[in-house]
Amino acid sequence: MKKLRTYLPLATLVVLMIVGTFLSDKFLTYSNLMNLLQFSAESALIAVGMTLVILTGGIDLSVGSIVALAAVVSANSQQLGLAGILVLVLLIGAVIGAINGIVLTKFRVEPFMATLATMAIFRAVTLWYTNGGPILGNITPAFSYLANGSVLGIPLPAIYVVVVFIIGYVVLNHTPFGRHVLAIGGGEETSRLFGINVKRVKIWVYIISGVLAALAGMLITSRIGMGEPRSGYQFELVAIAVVIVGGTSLTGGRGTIGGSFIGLLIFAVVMNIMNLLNISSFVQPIVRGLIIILAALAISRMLKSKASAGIA
Amino acid sequence: MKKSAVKMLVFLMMFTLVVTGCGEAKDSKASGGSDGKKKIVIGFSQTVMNHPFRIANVDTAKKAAADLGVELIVTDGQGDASKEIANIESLIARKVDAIIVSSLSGNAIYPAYKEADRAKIPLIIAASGVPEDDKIPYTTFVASDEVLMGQQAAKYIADKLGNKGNLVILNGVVESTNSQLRTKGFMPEIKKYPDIKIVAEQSGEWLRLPAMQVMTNILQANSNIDVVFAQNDEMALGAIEAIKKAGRMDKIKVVSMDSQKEALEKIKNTNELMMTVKNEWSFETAVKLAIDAANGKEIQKRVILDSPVIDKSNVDKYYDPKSTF
Repeated sequence: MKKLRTYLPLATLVVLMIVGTFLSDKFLTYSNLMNLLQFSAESALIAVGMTLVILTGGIDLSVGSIVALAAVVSANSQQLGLAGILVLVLLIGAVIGAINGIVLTKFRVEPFMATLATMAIFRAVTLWYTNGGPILGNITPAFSYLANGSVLGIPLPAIYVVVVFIIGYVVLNHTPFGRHVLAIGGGEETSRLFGINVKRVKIWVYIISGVLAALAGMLITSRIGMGEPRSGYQFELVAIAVVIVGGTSLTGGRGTIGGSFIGLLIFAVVMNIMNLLNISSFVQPIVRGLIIILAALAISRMLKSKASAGIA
Repeated sequence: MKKSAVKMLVFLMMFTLVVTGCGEAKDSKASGGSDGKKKIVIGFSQTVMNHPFRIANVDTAKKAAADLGVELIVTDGQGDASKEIANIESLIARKVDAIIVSSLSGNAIYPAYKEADRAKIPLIIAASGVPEDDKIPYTTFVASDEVLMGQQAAKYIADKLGNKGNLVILNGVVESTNSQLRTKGFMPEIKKYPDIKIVAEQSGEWLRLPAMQVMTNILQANSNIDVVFAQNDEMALGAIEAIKKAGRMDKIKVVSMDSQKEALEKIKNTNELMMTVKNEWSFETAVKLAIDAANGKEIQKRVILDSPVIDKSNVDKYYDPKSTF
């Protein structure tokens, strides 16, 4: 079963890559694949956090609003220098993440409701802070380099994608914290009996999700050279879709970081192919929706047939 | 435990309300006019205040009201039709002399229009959808003609391309009325030139980042692009970043709409943005029409605001470093 969750998304990606290569001769080129990867950086950061959250059986709807707040604050605090901005952005993500975590553990509010509330609140705070308009500060060249620079011909955001997934993988699979995350998703009561501090682990998971979302916001500001308060709309839905298509179960406990990486690439490849082929903007969301349904269906069908085969 | 959860939720909701504000009518000025003659009071129901265009509407309306010596009451509907209706009702209750409404709520707002009519208060619809149902009463509709703006952009492009070349179109959010109207003007006009080929038409969702990403992909797919038409300046600015990164700025012209300050600066100081069609954001005309209506003057049912084409030749006339939009 675990194998299926890993290989189905991978097989889908391979098929898509082959289809893309046949449909457009521009698809399988170095520059196209690099662009595809580098524009996935914001989603990658959020998807890694979301994977951990969903693995604990939770959900984090506030990431899009965290993106927006971090984006405008980093545009408005250019005078602090790179390190100063980074500290501020990390703080924003950590505080909002901690609020999420504390509200849903200590006060036992459903994660959906707790993060729905912070989603609304911090979107409003962002618009309030900017008075609705974008922040057109003078973005420094050093800050702009974060998203627009490259090393050895590889755009920096493409490198961030790989790095954040590797870190996510190591944390989930090779640390006690990661084992606790998986254990909590498998069964909270059992985890508690085994002496895992469930509340603390959960709070940390939401802090990580918040921090990664805030970094994504900072990256957007670096990319577009201004603080856009409308940034990050529906990013939570994109991230959730990526995680599900990557084979992680919404009920928690089952799933992998690698799967989310594949899920991310599936959506990136599909969008890329649709742009290359100039498919109508009306149709594109339909295709994305179908992918989610097909992935969910395929996984649940196969799991069921395996289960019944096991009984017989 | 359940109880504390409910309590927490109620608290959060209250907090949200406090933070987002409750859309109360805010006086922009204390009621003045101690000189026997009654001062004209105009109400302005703004649909939402989260966009520079909308904020500029309010700023220019306030300035015009101050210049013309009338009182202006501004309300914020926060993008919610029921809040807008409540705001308009409160303006009617305050017996203002005319009401300016800017709404994006389609026919959900019509009941409020009818109430204003029953109270015999002139209604000026501005920068907003106009009622398609002719039973809905209003005094005048004042706005740029988005269809005309689309036509102007198409003509300009055909002219600059010498009636032939490869064109990329970046549309706004597909369900947006403005995007549809701009397309409605642009498409039939550009199709009059069979040698202008549309090589790509995609949505940039009105925003800079999606436009940049989509344009990057379009640049991959098309090695021959002569001009990009973006339906607003934000998307044009995103597309320009993508084109610069691909090192093709010298070969591709970019044309857009709205004439926000940053776009005018680009036209003035660089060769990256070629032209933008002005989408009038000043509410000066709307305020003047409201005063005329309050004074019982006869006014036209439809007032079309100018939407000039702005490029390097006339940008200085329109560029105002102090403008908010």
